[in-house]
Amino acid sequence: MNNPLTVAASINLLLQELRRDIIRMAAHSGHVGVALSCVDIVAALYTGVLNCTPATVNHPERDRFILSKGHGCMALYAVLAHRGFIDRALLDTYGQNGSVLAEHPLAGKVSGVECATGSLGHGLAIGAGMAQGLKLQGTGSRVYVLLGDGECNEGSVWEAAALARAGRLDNLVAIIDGNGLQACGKYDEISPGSMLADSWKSFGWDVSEADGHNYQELVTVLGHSSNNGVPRVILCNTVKGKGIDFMERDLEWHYRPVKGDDRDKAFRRLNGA
Amino acid sequence: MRDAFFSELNNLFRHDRRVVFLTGDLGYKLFDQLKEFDPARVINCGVREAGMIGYAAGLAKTGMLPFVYSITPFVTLRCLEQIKIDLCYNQANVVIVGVGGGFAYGPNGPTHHGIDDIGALSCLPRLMVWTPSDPHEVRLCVRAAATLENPAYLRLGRNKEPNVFASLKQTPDISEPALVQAGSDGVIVTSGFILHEVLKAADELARHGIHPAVVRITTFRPFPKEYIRLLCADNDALMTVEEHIANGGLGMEIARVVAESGNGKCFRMLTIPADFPDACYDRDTLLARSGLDADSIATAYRRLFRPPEMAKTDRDG
Repeated sequence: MNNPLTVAASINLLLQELRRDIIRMAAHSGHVGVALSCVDIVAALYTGVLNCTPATVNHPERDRFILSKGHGCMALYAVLAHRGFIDRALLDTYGQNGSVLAEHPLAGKVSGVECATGSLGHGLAIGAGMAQGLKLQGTGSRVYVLLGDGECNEGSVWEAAALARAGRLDNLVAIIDGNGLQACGKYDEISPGSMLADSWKSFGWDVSEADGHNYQELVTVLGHSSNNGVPRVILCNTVKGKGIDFMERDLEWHYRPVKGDDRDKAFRRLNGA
Repeated sequence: MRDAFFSELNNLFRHDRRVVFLTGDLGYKLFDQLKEFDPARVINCGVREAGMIGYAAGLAKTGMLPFVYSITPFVTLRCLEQIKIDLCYNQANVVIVGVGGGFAYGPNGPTHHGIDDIGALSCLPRLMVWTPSDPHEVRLCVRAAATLENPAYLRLGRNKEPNVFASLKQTPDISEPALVQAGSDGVIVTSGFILHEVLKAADELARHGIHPAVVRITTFRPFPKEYIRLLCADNDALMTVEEHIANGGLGMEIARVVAESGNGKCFRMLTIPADFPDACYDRDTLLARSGLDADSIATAYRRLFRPPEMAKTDRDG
């Protein structure tokens, strides 16, 4: 049967492989640091949590996932390809003319993408509405929405947070990719004194924290279900650029495509060199 | 129009379990009937218009049919990007209902005027825009919402609009422009509940021996371009009247068709000047100050149809 050590090793291999896919795509665009910070969360969702497969991608009772921070989409594309929602060869077209894999997810073009995102602050309200619709229809499906910590600057996030609490949406889970870095600075410098955990608590949400790069912990915390009428948020501690040492916590990699020597060096790091 | 909306929505709500009513904390007592029937499908979102649009998009994505309701500017410009991305781009079939289009909320001031809603929303692909001209047409729009293939915007007045079509035997088809009054002296095209001012103007013109036809457009998006192209083909007098600024509105849209047709020797558009009023005024006064009351409309059409010099020649002849 499944030897835990073998399972752990295969998960590590998967996460490395997803990072290789991201580096390959990142030759054509920025946001590599963002994708590396959230890829472990997206992988945990699609391999260990979500009740959604390529065969059930349009089933009314599937679980839903919304990548509200649409600029992290290289992570999503890599995971969707790994799970067979999209052809792996598509990844090579990322960001190219005519490709369905744009630098923010397009609407209705990619199997597994529930809705287009890219403008921040939209995904949580949509996810909350979906969770409400699923409740009205009496299904037990759940909705997961991944946001950035910087995205929580948007007022619309807090409108959605209040709406979800009022709707008693315990089938809704918000996940915060808390890498602490926004587009032009640190979260704490841009919003000094703002404590995200306290903010979510004050909106009446059930708040937990997790290591956003610990697969097993993520699967456990994300998979936890409740029926207490309270939506849940998981604040994930993450590192922007995680897994490639020279990219970690460096804002430069919010923008820079990965080419030439950088690309070779990144692949060497992923191979353990 | 507001009462007609809630009455018809109540009918739809009882028969179609997909219908969900969302309000931005407005419409006191007006949705009580809905709540009594099925409270789970009535959601007061609070004063959170952006969140409400996204929420409605999510509901629609699970197969529900949401109606979102607030005062015109709050449910249009306030949450314009949510309408663009969550509804139009993501193809979530939601009906946005704006109460108080045009100057309906006159004395409430420019924060509550809905005179730029159509122009702003007309930038957005896929959005259907309905500008019904009387309470009966509001009912037809609500019924049409049950078979929507796109998101839609429904522009309501308030509650004083006369039943223009009550006396007509034939129910107008809201999906097509309709000839409200036949005439032999050119045409006035209008959209929305300012139709009753236009009809009053037409009566006034008739007293001067001028008989323009009156056409109303209720489905403004998609725009009935072909109808207008045929309408301006004879190069007769053509005037547009709308309770909206020029940008993105009826007149500009028709002007484009007229210009492309090569006709348009005799064309005029009446619109609200894009400016903020200097004081508190009611709707009638704001219309008059904008040149959109019946008298001003009649005067403008007389000048277009029979320019002063021609009128002088007529007298001399």
